Amino acid sequence: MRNFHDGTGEQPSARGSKLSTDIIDDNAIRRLLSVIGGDREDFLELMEEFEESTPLLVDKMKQAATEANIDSLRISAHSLKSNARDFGAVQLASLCEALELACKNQDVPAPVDKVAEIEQALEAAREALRGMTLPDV
Amino acid sequence: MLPSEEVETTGAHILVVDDNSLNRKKMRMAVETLGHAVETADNGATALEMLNAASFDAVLLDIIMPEIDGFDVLQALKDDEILRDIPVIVISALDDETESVVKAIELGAEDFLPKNFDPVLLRARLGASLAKKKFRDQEREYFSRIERLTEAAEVLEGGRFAPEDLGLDDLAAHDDPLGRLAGVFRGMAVEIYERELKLRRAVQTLQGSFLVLAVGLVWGLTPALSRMASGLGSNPLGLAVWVNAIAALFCLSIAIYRGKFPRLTGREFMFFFGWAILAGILQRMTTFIVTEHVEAAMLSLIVTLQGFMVFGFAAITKIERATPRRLIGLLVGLFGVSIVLLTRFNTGGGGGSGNAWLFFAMLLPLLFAFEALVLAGKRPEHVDTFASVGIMMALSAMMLAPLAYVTGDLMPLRLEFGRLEFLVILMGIVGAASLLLSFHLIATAGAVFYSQTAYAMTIAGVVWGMLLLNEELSVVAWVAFAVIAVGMYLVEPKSGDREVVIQRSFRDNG
Repeated sequence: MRNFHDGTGEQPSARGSKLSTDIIDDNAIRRLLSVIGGDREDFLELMEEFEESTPLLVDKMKQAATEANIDSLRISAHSLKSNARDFGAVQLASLCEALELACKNQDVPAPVDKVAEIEQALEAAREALRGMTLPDV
Repeated sequence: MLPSEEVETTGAHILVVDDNSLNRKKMRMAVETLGHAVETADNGATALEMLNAASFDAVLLDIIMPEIDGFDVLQALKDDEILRDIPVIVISALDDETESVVKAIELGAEDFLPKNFDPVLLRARLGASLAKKKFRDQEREYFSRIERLTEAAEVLEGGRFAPEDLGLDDLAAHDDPLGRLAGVFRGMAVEIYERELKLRRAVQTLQGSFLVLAVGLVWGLTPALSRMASGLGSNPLGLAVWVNAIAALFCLSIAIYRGKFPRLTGREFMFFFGWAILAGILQRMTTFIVTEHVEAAMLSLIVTLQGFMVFGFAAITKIERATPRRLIGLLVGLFGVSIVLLTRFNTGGGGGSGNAWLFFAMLLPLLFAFEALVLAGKRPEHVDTFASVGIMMALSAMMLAPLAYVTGDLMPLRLEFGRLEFLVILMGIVGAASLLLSFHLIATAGAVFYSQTAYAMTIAGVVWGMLLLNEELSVVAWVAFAVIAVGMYLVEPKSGDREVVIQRSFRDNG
């Protein structure tokens, strides 16, 4: 099921209009759209993938944080950081980057709290993405 | 040629390796947008399996993956002789993975790409990697062609000029300077090969023709000698026993002297036994019977049919080339013989042979043809020629002796040396010589060419008449001989099975 607007629906519709929130960097969205050749169908498929796969990554992070598995936590944080950057989720990317670095340095105080913070940022990013309108490339 | 942007780099087969499903999808879409075919692997182990199973032009490889990470995949690729040349572009977040990128480049990665790459950058880096790979592939293919050309030169140096030995056909098909060089190289080699082949064939034809004439001349002596022996009171059967025994003694003595007396297997013994029945008994008996009922000229003509019988059998079994040219050659020969015999029919006159006897006479060329084919195809090749003929003659003498004894035809030869004894010895040697020549001719020139000895025998009859009886040779006879010679040229001996090796020095001109 797709929750995003591809510029043809009723909700934020005008192509090329600003994104609905400051949580998302619209330059990143433009770049991603450009990377995949500007195909809006493909872009929606990627957003759907983002919607489906990122909560799974957070679940993995939660589990790793609970088990104090720093390496698994690092890999998941790295992965989510990369996805967040693709979709311009600036805050989410920055939190993941900080956690990844902390894992690398083997210095992760309160990992469960950090993951909870990331989960919130992810939710905010997903919310913002759901309401956005695709820009022109 | 250097790798450049002009090199066509679309349509490549790319493998994307990333454990992150979103990244995989993004990379697939991005690379497909550039016009390439993409397959994806979600871990290092799957990636290596796919690389071993199919051919890829480049790999886009994520470094950080659980279990087998990008470094492991890279290492495995570089350790593999076949896969090591596939360009790998590592994908890195760059901000905090500089060390990883450096390590990957040191491990042999072609280039790197940041995770949030610009499409122009992807196009440029992938394009450059593919262009380099294409250049490397072309270079490798070019070197392998040079290597094959060098191998062909070595084959040539070894004296083998046959096109199939050189294997240059596919190299010459390339439309580039190296392809043209291979073409010229092959063309010159083929030219020399064909010239050499033609020369050898001409020599073979000439040698074969002389042998055919020699066989004919020697065989042609037999009837005259037989008539002389008959005049001295001999009978055909008794004569055959002694002639065969002496021929056997003559041949076996030479074989033993040369240290070539063979040990025969049961199967080989049966071959010689069969040959003795065929040549020593069946042919001889048929000849005795037929000569009494069919006039000589007609019989000579009938005997020439053996060539066509052998040719027909060769055409069916493909033991020898059965080309229209050879058939025409046989027909030309038959025409030549007919011209000679025409003069004989006129002089012979009267006493027409009955149709039944003519039909029976056809058995004779059939037996000769059968013998030629058996000798060509089934003779034990390791047994010496003298030993082969000697064994056959000995067996045939041993088979005929009891029959001659029973019929009272086994004439005792006197110890004191008279004309008959001299004639028998001469006939033994002549018989042995004709068989030895025939055996050699069949082995080297084939059964079809050998079968022309029937023509030669007709010529021999005329030539012996001219030499011994001072007969004048008419212009027609000379024309007939020329026609028969043309026939032999057309029939050609069978092409040599031996590999043609041409000795030529390609080095040290000085």
